[in-house]
Amino acid sequence: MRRHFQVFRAAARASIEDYISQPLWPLFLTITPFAFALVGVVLYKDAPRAVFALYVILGSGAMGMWSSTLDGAGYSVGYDRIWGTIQYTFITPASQLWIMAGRSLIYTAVGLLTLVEILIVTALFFGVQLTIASPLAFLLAALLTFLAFAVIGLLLGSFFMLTRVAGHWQNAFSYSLYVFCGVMYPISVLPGWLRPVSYVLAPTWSLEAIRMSVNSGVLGDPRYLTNLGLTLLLLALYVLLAWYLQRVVEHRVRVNADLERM
Amino acid sequence: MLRQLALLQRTSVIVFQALYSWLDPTAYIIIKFVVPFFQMSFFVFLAKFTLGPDKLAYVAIGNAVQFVAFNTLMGVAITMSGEKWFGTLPVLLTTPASRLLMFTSRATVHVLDGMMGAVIGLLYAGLFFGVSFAQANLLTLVVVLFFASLTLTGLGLIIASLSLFIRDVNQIMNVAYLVVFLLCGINFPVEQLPVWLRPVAYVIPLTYGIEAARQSIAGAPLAAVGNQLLVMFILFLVEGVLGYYLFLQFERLAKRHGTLEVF
Amino acid sequence: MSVIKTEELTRVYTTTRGFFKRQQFETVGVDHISFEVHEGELFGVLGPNGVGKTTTIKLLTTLLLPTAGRATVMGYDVARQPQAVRQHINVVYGGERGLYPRLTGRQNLLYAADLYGVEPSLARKRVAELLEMVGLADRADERAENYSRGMKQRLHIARGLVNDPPVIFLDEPTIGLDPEGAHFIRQRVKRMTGQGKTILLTTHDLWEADQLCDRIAILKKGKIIALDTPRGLRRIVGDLQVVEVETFGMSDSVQTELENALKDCFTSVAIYGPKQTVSIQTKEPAQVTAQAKRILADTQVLDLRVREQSLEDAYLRLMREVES
Repeated sequence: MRRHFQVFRAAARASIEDYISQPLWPLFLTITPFAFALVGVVLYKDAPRAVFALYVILGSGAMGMWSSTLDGAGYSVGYDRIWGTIQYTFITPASQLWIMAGRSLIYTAVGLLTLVEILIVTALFFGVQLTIASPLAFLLAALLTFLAFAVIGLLLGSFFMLTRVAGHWQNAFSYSLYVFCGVMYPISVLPGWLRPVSYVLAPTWSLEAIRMSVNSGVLGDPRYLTNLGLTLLLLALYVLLAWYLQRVVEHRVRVNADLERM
Repeated sequence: MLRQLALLQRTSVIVFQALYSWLDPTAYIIIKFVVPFFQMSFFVFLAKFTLGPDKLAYVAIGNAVQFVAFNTLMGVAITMSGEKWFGTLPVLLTTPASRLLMFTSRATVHVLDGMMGAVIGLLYAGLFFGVSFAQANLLTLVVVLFFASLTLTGLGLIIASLSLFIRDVNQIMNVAYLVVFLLCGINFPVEQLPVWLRPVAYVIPLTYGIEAARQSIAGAPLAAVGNQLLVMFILFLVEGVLGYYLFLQFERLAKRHGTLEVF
Repeated sequence: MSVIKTEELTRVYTTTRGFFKRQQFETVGVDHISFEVHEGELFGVLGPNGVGKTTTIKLLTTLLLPTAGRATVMGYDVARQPQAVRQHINVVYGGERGLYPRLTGRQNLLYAADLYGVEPSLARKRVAELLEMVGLADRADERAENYSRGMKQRLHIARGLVNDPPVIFLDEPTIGLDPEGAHFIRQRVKRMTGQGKTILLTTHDLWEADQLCDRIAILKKGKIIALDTPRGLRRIVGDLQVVEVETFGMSDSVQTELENALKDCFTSVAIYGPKQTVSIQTKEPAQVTAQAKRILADTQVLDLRVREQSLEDAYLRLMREVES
């Protein structure tokens, strides 16, 4: 286990070092969610302050995290292929899953930049106002939301290694979670036939939990706990799926000699 | 004249193959059908919640028509940048007229493909987002879409000229697209922008194109949008000429400073 | 003790072509190869491109599964115990790729050390030593993308040692390097065996194989056509030696006389302006030397020496033999 943590930390550190070497990159990575969130700023500008904060500010954080995670997963798999670094990591005893986990954590964290940017814009022009009556519940839900995106990044990384056309999927998924997870509007807005997709996405539940935490006494609220529980359940499923996909990839690579052609 | 057109048609087909050879059918379908669906959906649902179901059509139409920008703003910028331009510029064709021909043939492909994007968006608007085309004046709409697509290529050329100097054309292109997306009355009227930003919206042809599209779907005849089409065309000429001039200048500078290696 | 052992190791590549009517094509990467590498040995795998050298390394480093046969490294089966194998090996590939370009040389090495689970404080020390050893200490904190080709290769070598593995695989490590860079790499490789490491090296450079390797396996079309020490290989094609005479201003008549006298041997004369080099392949160098000296008594002889057949002679002959 110690070895896994070492690999995890090393991959995270390498990702940070990579970002530091191109300091403007995070800004460019998150520019689209920032622009989209600005539309939210305009559309919500007459809403009550609490609603604004819950949907626009938090929503922008979620959008940023998703965009950064998705691009990060695609980027890391893609560049590993271009640079030819994937062979090297493959023949070390390190687990590919833990490497991806370390990277994913950093990519998701970078996405929070969007939240900061929107906070600044909002503070400058409108003033921010949000009281959180259940701060512990809020923190818990926020942490889980962050984790949700990071784990999805892990799953995506495994998936992108499986397919030779990762770029296609990266494009296809680009705004999908914005639509389904209720990042800037509640999922009740979605037509009935689309909602099942929302239900299998972990951030849907954790974001709902965050929104609940502005009220008091939420920590014991069964609905809140259900949201957290569902998030955790889905995350566990994603991790399992990522692990399984990773094994498939490893086996496929060794049988088909795909690694360079991937 | 006829011969010029024939040449234009021939080079356009070749250019189309060259431009899209890097794109396989799956990628094309994803970029043309899947991504726009999700992008549109997000803003339509956002509008549904914040503005109410009766304002949906405004946002849906805006989002649909702006898809022309994918091709005529971004596409042009990509295909006119660096290696894609210099790499395929035939050695024989070095006169300014030939350059114009090369640009025109590429732009033609983008204009038509851009219209396709808007049409797909409008189909989604009709099928999924409850926009009614019952009153629409189809002739006006088609002309408006054509103008919307065509007139943005001037800006596309300006951005392309910038990209001759800057390594990462994708970033500039992306930023340019997002600026257009925020300012051109796609999700909210230009009047809701801060006063100092409004002039920028008014020099982008798409702003008028989107408004004209909304009118044509409401049933306006061609004459009713005549003024907007005229403004769009004038902006196109101005921006096109400026872009062309800038492009040639930067091309010369890039060659002199050897920044071509940057590509 | 055999550190690397292969038994009838085989790898077949299957590719499918065609969209509607799918056809399968099989290419044989390696074909029932068997060999053993002993502890501390520098074992060479030699052959032209596409012959199976890289496939051999990929099989032994757990990157590929064999189609048939088996192989063990440090006693662990490469197919069934890949993790155990990976703990004990490292690989050095040739070429520019394989480094994280935006990380520095040092960061690249530290990352690799972490992937191998090297204890961090030990890793820092070892990385510093390795950078020193490969001559990159003063450029260690520059981005790898700014390194020259030779520097990148040196960094690869350093990375190959970052976990102090008992077994190292090198896949054409001097490819594309200038002579000085290649020499540096070869020196380092030679030094590794001095440290008790077992090395398997692939190359298509005959001279390099001859210089470095304790034993060489020559591959052709996925099969081993010869396996021996360099000396042994040279003798495979016959126990010939070469008498080489360098003369100045040898006249045509003397040359003809020489050639006639040595009719039974394979003689070749190379002319470089006023100088000539006569190469005589013979089983009896002493006799030939005496004959030559007699005939060239009145000609200016710059140098006369007896040399071994080169590996190149043997190799070319082996390749031709297998063809027929």
